[in-house]
Amino acid sequence: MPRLNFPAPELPAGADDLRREVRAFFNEALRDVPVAERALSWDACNPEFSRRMGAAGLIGMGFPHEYGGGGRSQLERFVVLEECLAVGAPTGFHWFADRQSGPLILRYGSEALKQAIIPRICRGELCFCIGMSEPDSGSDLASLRTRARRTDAGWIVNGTKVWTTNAHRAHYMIALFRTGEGGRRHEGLSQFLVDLRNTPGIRIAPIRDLAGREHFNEVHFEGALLPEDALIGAENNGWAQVMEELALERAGPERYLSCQTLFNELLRVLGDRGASAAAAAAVGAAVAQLGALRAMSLSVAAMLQAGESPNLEAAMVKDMGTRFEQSIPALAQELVDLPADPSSDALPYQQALHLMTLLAPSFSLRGGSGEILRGIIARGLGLR
Amino acid sequence: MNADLLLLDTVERLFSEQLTPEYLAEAERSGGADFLSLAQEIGLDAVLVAQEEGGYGGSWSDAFVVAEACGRYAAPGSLPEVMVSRGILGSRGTGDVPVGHVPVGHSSAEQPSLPLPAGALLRSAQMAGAAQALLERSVQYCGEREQFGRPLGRFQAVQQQLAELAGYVACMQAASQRAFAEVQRRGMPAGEEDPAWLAVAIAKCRCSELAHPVTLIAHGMHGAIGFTEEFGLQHFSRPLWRWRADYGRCSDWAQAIGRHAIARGPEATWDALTR
Repeated sequence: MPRLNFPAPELPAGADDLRREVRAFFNEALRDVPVAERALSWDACNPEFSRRMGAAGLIGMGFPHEYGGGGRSQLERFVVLEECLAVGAPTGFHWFADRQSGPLILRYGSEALKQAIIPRICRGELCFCIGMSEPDSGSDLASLRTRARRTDAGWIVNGTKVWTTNAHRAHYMIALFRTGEGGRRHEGLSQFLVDLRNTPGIRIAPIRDLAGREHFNEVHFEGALLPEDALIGAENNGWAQVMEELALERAGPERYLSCQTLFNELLRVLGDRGASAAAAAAVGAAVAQLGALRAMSLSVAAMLQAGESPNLEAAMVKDMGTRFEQSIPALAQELVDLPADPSSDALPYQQALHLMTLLAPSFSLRGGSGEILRGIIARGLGLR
Repeated sequence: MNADLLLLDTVERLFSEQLTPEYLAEAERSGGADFLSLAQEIGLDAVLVAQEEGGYGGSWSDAFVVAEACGRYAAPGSLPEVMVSRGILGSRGTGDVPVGHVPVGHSSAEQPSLPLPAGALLRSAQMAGAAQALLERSVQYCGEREQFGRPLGRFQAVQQQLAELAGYVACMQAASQRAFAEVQRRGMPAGEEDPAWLAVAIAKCRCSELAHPVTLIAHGMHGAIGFTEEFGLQHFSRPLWRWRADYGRCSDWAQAIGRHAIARGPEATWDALTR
């Protein structure tokens, strides 16, 4: 069994200045953004806000200079991400592109593709979605059936993706399709770049969530023709590529800071109304969880920077982190006797409580359920 | 903040050779005071003492390595306390002793007493180490013990429990290492206003809280054999039950952290977490 080790990295020189700049930027940029949007944070799409962040150099911070990126380290990027989340910057429009699609294209895309796409991601112009789940393939992703068939004209795709966040807004989808025949089911999968706005034969139908929001979709591929070079990386190597991508997706600060605007408003309300010793202890225990999760996540960011593959550690951050962020609405309701209220004249606390109570169940679903993550951890412990 | 690999190697060698099940069983009766002398012979008590004063000249991250290993190997005696007090006081045992001005908790009666934040910091590392030992032993046991015709570790319900246990241990390790790094960077806190105070408070709060689920799962996975004196799981669980109340319980630290967070408000709280 591997010994668990989570060294505490020192932030690079200049991280303090970077943090100050980012805070100053958000202080100004968030002035007119309502609490309902800030509460959603990386779930809220605001193309204009993403462009402003891009212009300020806050997207693609880890991408190379030659493609318009910031050329910064994982730890510096971590600083920017956590500051975004702490103030509830609406970053949903560019979040997936910045976090995983950009890195994927940089790693596996052709030179022409990198030059065409990466600078636009950095400018905050592009929205990406991730086409993985299907109607019959959720946690069991490797059972997916949507097929891309190679022809002389290109790839012809038939099938359906579902729960695809932002598909109705996105320019591109990074999709996982079946390309091989027979064999083990993890083999025979490949990743593709799908131009959602310029490809006939794609139908996108939004699905309303329990809060009445439309952010995820069904995406139907009905004989959609993709060009030959839509394939990303090696044919039939999709599973390995997706697993790498998921390590980037699982350990970041968005896995424990999804309720941060609500938590901030909770602190404000308790400050105004006073808190009992028991309430202070409950808040303090939550701050301690937050601090410990941050220590774990920062440690994983340093491992990624060092070129390691901390899949086990990343799964731990997501499993524990999402359980923490899911606990915040219930904690808030226990500590403050004010009802959740979506109306814009209610207290920011009440508006945030309304939204996050309804959204919290999704936190542990997106990016792999708790049971799947604990299965990955068990494998890392040598049990599977 | 990376610890010295040579130190790590030295510690692992001495501890694994010396701290055998037989030695630990004997130390239960004798108190195991000779282990401190052994460790002192190779200078482990002076990890934090400056080289020009005859010490090892190590950092607080080096001290974490020693303290964590003491918990993980169930080292008897007061090596961790001696190491930390020498680190605070210097080789001559003089100087300013930072004393926490919030008197919460107390140390176990048989151990020399440390100032509150230093004691809490130390316990967090020992607890992370003991929890790691419980995890390792549980994974090993579930890999070997067969029921219903297969090893326990093949059952999904058992895998989920062990994965949860591993997550808690990871959390204790990360929080404690962070606190040692903060103390190295910003100095041992004397009280709540000092910069490294929050990291120490978080480490002890989390380690104290997680001692319960960690010991519960580890004992649950072992069944009755883990409950015996002879099997030795108790060398790691019993200290956790004692240490979680040493130098501040979870609720003591949580209340102090929460009072500050509420009084200062969200922006200052976030700033304190990220400074």
